[in-house]
Amino acid sequence: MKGIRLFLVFFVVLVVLVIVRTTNKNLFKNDASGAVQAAQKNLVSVSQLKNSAGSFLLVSIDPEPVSHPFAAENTIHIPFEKLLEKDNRKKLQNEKGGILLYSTNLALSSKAWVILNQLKFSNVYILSEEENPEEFKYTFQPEPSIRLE
Amino acid sequence: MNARIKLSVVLMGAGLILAFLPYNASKTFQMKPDELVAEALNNEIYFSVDQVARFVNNEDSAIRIVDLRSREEFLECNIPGSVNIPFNDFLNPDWEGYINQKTVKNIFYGNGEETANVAWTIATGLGYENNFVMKGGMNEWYKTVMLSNFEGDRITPRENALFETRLKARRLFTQLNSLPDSLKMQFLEAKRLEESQLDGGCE
Repeated sequence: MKGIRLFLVFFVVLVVLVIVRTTNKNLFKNDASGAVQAAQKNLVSVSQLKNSAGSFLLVSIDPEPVSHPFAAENTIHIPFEKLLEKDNRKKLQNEKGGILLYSTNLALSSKAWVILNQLKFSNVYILSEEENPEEFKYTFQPEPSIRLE
Repeated sequence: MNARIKLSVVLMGAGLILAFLPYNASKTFQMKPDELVAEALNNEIYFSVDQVARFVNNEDSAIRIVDLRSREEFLECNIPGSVNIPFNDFLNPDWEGYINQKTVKNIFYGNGEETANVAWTIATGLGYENNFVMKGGMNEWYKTVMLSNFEGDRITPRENALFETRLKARRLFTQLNSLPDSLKMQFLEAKRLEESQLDGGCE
């Protein structure tokens, strides 16, 4: 009987630890492979945005607020380093439509996108000024006469 | 209450705990979100295309250049010495030995900025070290290294050294990528084999 009691105490401690871990907001819980899949379709171009009927919250994540021609009414500025502050997280969580991350530096919005995706924000996209920024813009011309040195 | 019933309750509780655990714990970010944000702001994760051109020219063995584009794009043209890990296959366990290691510096590139930075954030979040990004990707490489041109009457020694580096890297790039497909495949296969042997593989 004493053994069972000891086991129950241990079990309760374990349950408490699991609950703490599950509800801890400062931990990633998503499977990273989900980000690889979702990254294939996480870009929204300016022209797509103009033609879109859906509602979006545009989040500018540059250190300083940048005025851009496609600024929607629903625009907020959250510098990248403050993205995870409690109030800012709440603003993002309260958004029912899509969240569009915008930065003059696509590298920054790409990193922010992964972080939010792994924090279970499934409605986050990257706003890109180019139609397809991952397209190779040049054509390599091979030189058939060339030989390895 | 019967001890057996108590034990059943305990076992059912344990089952509940298991149900709450992440699906694949090994592929969940190990880094805390605020730590990852701080790390992402560090500009030391970037190498310029000129730095990469120097590594290519010197065949620097402490550097591994990782091409994250599709196999087709990679075969069309790639930076000499690079390894192709298509981004949609990035977390395939076959590549883990390349991405999760402490021996060489991996430099990721895609065509633009997005893919390489997403890959870097995923790798760093998973706690993998030694991963970096080539700033601007293949488009920047092409613009700066392949299409660089000197115009002017005088050239400083520094400018000359930079131009020489680009010229040599451009020559290597053109040589490798002008090879017939069969030879290129042989070259890439030999390189892959060499790398897997260095990593302790058994191919």
